[in-house]
Amino acid sequence: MANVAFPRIESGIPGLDEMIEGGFPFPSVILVAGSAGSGKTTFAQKFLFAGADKGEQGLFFSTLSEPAQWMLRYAAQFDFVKPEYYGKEVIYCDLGNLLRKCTAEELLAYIDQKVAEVMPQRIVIDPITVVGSMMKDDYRIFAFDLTTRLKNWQATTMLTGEVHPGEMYPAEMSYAVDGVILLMLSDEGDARRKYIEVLKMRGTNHLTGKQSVDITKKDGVIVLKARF
Amino acid sequence: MVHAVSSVLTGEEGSSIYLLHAKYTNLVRVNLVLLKAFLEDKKRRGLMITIDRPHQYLSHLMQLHGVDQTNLVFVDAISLHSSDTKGGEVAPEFQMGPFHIETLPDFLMKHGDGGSSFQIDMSTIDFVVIDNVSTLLTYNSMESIKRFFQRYIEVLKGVKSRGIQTALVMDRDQHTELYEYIYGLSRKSIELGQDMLVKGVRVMGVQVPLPLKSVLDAPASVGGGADGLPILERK
Repeated sequence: MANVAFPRIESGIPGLDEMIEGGFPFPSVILVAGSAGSGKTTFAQKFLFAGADKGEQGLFFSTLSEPAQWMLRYAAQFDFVKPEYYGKEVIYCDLGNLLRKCTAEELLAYIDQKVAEVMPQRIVIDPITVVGSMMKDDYRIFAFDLTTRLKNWQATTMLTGEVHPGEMYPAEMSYAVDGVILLMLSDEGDARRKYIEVLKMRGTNHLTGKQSVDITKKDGVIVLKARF
Repeated sequence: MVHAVSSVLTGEEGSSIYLLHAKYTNLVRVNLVLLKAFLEDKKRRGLMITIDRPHQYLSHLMQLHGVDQTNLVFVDAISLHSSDTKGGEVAPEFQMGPFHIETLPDFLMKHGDGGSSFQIDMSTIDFVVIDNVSTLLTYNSMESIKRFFQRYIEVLKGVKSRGIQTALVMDRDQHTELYEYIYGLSRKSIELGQDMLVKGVRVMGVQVPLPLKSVLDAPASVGGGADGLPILERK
């Protein structure tokens, strides 16, 4: 059987696509994991808005980390966030209330329904890890079913994952996803430096090792070697 | 957009293939528009063969976007390998699929003889859509795919005189060899832009003037409306 390359979509993160053979596989599910303040939500927002600039539909599910109301208020500081996209090219959906009372199957059905309505090419669930901590049912099975459904809806999905001290990435989700990207804050003397590492990207000859990143008002998260 | 696409699916006498070029990120949307065009605009009866995802996803989309599925039959070539728990109506499964795709045409004909657990009477089918033909490359060699098309065309010729229109959507830039092969088999090729508007039509390889120019030039409108699916139309 001849090799068949699959399509990719640009991440929207300056410098990242060069690390992953041009972009995320399409469709795929990518986990972006990091501690508080590492830039996960900014990363995810840029992913959606970069797609919107290309005419691609985005759908952002927020869970129980930060209500959309406040998340958008902070996001407004970034130049890449264009309010004219809100409610059209970038649609926000808050899962917080549903998560307090639903089963895994009900949550999957709700996400299914919303994705079918919007038909996005890019999806964000921010963060996914809080879902695991609230789930009564088996989280591993949920992770499998979720990633299967999201890919069958023909979209590239970015899941953000909170990591706890000493944890590198959320383990249960890392097995189910196609890619794992780490955003790290490193305590180096008087400063905390930020890094990105592509730990896993199925079907991709990706760059390994930590790369320095910065967060700017203009572009959000950027891989620093992209500046040169 | 539905009317615009429908206007180029003119349904000449005899079976023919329509090849639509659209960006890979829009394949599902275009398939949905095609189904609406055939089923509602043209009131045809059809067969949907799913390879890229279990049929429940398209069925769900159709239900949600108000596309009547009464006259659509699904054959699912991927469910057996998908481990997908999404609910929905059960559809006949092509057990050999998505591999050995060259055996699919005879599978379709065999299941019209009343001797198996489900029936697809190809003589009542007016159109076929495959979701999506590029995915065949993941599971089959190019030679197998060519044998599939050769057998498929033979089978269609023997089915009915009115003809079956087969609409295939793919991204020419992603799978050029397969696109060019199917282009050589197709009567009409249609190019859709990133904005999902019809950009060009070729009949037997010759560029033709776009029909119903005023419809094709009309900007897409926000919200619902008689012309198309609300979610697909945007200012």
